[in-house]
Amino acid sequence: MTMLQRFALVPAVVLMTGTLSMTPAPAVSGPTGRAERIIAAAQTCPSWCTFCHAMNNDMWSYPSEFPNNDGYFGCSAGACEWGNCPETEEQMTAEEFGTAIVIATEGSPAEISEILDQHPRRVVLNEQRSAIQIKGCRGEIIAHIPVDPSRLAGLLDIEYGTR
Amino acid sequence: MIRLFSLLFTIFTNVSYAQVTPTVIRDRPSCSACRISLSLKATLGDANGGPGELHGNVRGVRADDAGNLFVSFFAWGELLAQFDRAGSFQRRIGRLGSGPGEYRAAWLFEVIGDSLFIIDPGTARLTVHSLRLNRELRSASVSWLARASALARSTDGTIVGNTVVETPEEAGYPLHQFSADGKKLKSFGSVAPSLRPDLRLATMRSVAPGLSGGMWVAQVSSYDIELYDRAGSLIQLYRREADWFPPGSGRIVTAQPDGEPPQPKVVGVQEDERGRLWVLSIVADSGWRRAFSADRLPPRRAGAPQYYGVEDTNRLYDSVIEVIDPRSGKLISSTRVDEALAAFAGRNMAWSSVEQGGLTGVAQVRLWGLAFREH
Repeated sequence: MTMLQRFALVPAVVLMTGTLSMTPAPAVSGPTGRAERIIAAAQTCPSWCTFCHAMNNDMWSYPSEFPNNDGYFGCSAGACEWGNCPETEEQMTAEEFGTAIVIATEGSPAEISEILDQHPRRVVLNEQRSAIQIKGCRGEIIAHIPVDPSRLAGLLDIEYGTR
Repeated sequence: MIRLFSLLFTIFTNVSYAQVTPTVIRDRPSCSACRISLSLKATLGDANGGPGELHGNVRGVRADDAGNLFVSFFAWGELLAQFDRAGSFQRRIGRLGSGPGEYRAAWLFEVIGDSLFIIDPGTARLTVHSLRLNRELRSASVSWLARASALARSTDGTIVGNTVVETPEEAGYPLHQFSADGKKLKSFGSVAPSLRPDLRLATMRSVAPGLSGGMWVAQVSSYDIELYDRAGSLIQLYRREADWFPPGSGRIVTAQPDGEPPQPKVVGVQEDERGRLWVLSIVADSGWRRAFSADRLPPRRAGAPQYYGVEDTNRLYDSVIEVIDPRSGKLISSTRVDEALAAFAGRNMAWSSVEQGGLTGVAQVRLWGLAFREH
């Protein structure tokens, strides 16, 4: 997409949504508690991660032990734990991952923009799907969080510098 | 301009989904004289050795049109087992390995016609196994399907799977339609597609073909039943309101004896020949705290919390079986049974399991007949 196309898209989106955030950009706050809960939940038992070798081996590994008491939906044959990408890839810690999810879910456009800047290869805006997507080491999408129209308009405004 | 058009299309599509008004189904059954009954039809698996001895956590049980029963496991090196309608062990399906006709983890499967469609996450393959010839007909690499948790055949010969797909275009959609050779055709199944690793249950669905050619879809963590047409558009949404099944957040909560009771879950949906909808749910047993091991399990790693293990799932959960009339949007009948039903095994059949010793212990399957009487 050329810069010209980007500039053309922003007013169109703003027109459609009818909203434009003019709020001064706050600093990214640290919703640490919620992020920790996200990490803990993901590490306790990702039910569709029923075994690890189908996952990215660079990012997930078998735990030595795992609980098998998460009900009836798997989690008994394996569970995976968060790890890091190879050194050649952009690193993202579990804490940063959890924080990115919280901010993508409920953060302001400025907060989302800051996360995008901090992790340009791991946290991306998918404009066509109006969503923030977080990637794993291989580029696979491990989180997809829709962004409502008003926040999307504000985010596009910041990203493409129309003000 | 193309991107703008795409964005507009996305927004308008979501608006049309959002226009489906939920039909709220309340607690009072419309037929006070109707009764749902459950009767034990067979127990599968030898308890004392022999070729029919089963091991591990039972993953799925399905019946074919002839009444044969197939059982799969969450266990490495445990092949699909076939039983006859009386519960006698017949054979194992395939061999262990990674070559043609071989499986490493034949966990998820569906019976379609006289074939088994088997997804093996160990080899990331979809294999079509002929029951008549007892051999593999074909297989395809389907790494995107390796972690599927539910399958159902469509009336048009395609298959719908519930899984997480990790591409930018499809991430967040819980359902994916694919051809018999594993080719992805369409993703659908959510008004607002979302994927969060802490809300795994929110992506899980039970699926079943509808008589009209569409697909019935039940959320696992909330008692919401959706009907999609052949094109993948949502055409009906039923929302069951019941005190015993509050809507879940999608978060997996590890039930522990000193904590909250296990969350209710929808484990099966099925349309019967008269167009009635059967829904299976599991809810905490009144004595659920007695389902756990006496001691905590070893920690996953140094410093990690230690959990009690579930020793008896049938003590952890009861089941609620309900019959709904989708035309009137009314609950016809409901019953609660002291057994943790895992899913439907076929028409008018459900199954539960008795497992002794987790991944390597001996397991047996209880096959239950479901009946509905109007008087």
